[in-house]
Amino acid sequence: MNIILHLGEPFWRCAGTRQVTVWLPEGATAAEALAALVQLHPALRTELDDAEGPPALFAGDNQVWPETPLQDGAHLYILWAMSGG
Amino acid sequence: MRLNTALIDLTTGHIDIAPTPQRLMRALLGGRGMNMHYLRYHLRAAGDPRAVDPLGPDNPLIFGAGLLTGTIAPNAARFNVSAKSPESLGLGDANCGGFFAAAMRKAGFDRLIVLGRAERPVYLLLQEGAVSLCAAEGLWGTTAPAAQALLKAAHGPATVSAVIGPAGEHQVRMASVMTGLKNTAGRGGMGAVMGSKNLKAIAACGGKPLVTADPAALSAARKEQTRYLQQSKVVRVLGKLGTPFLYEVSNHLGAIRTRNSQDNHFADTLVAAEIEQYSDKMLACTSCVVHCRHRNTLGGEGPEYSTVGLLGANLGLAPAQQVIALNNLVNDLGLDASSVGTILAWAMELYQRGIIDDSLTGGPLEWGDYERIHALIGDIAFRRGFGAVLAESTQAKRLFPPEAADYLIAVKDLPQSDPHDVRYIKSFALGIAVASRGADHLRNRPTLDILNLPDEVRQEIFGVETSADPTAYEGKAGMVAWHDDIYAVADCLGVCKFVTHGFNSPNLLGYGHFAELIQAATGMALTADELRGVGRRVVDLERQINLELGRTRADDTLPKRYFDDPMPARVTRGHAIDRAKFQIMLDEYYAARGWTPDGRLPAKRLAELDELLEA
Repeated sequence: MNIILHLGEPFWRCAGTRQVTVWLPEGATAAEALAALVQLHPALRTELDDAEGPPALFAGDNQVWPETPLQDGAHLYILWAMSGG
Repeated sequence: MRLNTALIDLTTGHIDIAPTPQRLMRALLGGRGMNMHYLRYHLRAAGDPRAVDPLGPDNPLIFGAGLLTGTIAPNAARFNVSAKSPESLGLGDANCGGFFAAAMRKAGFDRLIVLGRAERPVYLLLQEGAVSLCAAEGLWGTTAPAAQALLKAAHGPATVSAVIGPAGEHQVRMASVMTGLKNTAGRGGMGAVMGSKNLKAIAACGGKPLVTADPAALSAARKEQTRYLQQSKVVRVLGKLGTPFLYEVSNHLGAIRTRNSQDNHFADTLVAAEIEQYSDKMLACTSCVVHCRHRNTLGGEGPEYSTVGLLGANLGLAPAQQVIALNNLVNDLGLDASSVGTILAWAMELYQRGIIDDSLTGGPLEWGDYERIHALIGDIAFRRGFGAVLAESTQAKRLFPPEAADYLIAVKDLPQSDPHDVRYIKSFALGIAVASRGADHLRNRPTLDILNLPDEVRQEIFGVETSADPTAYEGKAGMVAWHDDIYAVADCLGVCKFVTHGFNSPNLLGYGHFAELIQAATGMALTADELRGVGRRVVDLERQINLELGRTRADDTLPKRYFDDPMPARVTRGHAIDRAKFQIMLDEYYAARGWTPDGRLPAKRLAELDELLEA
């Protein structure tokens, strides 16, 4: 199945693109999608593993967790959970 | 490092200068804390604090630099301006960065307490330990940048000033005090208080570097703490993108105040990458290691995330260029962008619902109408036409039909400062409900609540059991109280929140770092626990000021919409604040603070604060 990953600030700057499509086996989880992303764009590893909080993940309008299985064609948004001002 | 406090009576022209009391320094450090002490003292000296007219001569106006401000401590640039607020009619306090406060201290002053009212426009000149009262006729009527340029021309290029623009001169209740092109003491209408005193500006002509207790130790602490801070992702991202990077995640979540919080998401045209198109440099304040401020290509500085949200999404305005132009306009005129964006959106919804009409507004008031918004901001600053009504800020509710108050996004009559719709994250809701100056995120925003930190990490930070679920009501009170205290300490020291532990990261400067800096700069030894004790004291002092101004538990609440209207879309859809659960959260918060169930200070604590007044 294919998963369309949308990269928010500041992650997309490491990949040089806002959107990446990855191909994964049926039933793959969000964590597996992230691992595939890092394989394509290794510079993202340190950004995504940063100790200041893992990225927030959303499949469409639903928040999902690394262990959440994804559906074929899912749009997975990878955003940095920040809210200062 | 022993500097002075000046008491300036503009009515008589009398100026008293005395060393800042050491006893108060130990109890309240400086900045916000010590300002609060003097605010309480002078409001009580005027008689009944509730009867003091915020725009009258009895209202004290206090400029106080942080204890570390002007030293080489990381991000120690800030000062607070405090008075009874003409906007909220309660405690007024605004915090600001830039270069003014360092210059004020290098000119010899920790704090200026301004009383009375000058007969004609004046400004204060601070130079080599002296304060002079100067005629300001040539400055009156100028914008904030123009006034600063004139003062530089008069007193030399090293002169740094804090000024009001036309909005302050016209006593607009959301007028700010400005320094530089964008640095703003914005909250609560401190610029209007300045205008009411006929005080256009305070100009500081620098001087020698501050003498610190142990320069070598301070230098070593700065080096080590800078290295530590630069490992933080949030510090690095702020230095590249500024605060607008926060828009994207809030918008995706469905937590951006949009069209007066009728909606909760807006256009993607306001994300950081769009704002970046109009930025040619990142700027910093005194001793800053972050560099978060954009210099924009439209002739100003900024915008911040708050301005992007409140002059953009909240007004239905999508083009980044237009939002940046409005940002520059409010800064030139000396207006608080947060209040302006909230009050304009309130008026637009009232118009949309037919609660007010053309007979009052003088014409259509439509979402996203840039030309109309631009013109209205000017009218507010000069109190022209419908602008004169909006210049009353939240107090305009007395001029509108009674149901208008139901649509006002404010707490304690202070418009909400930031663009985050707090119906989803309950700790954020509690935070703005109990913040001492009204709806404001910089008093206690528990940003760590959304980082999904492990239980043991949260336990170690907060020292109490907290919930990892941002939508839960339980386990939030202690978290908010913890943030209250550390942010208060940062404000007393003059340190920016962007390097303060708990503001978007658990890897910034905490009490231990602050204690090290204080000892090196002043020689004063304080433990981490004693420092948190200062934070508690400041929050209690502010509570007492608000109580003496007539506030009660009933004022610790939220806008009606946050209780009654579920969020309409995206991840946050369906969330609102449950009234009964909110009251339980409030009970827990009062208990965490050691207050009585009706939100008062215990007698013993009050006696301790009263004893400070004798100092």
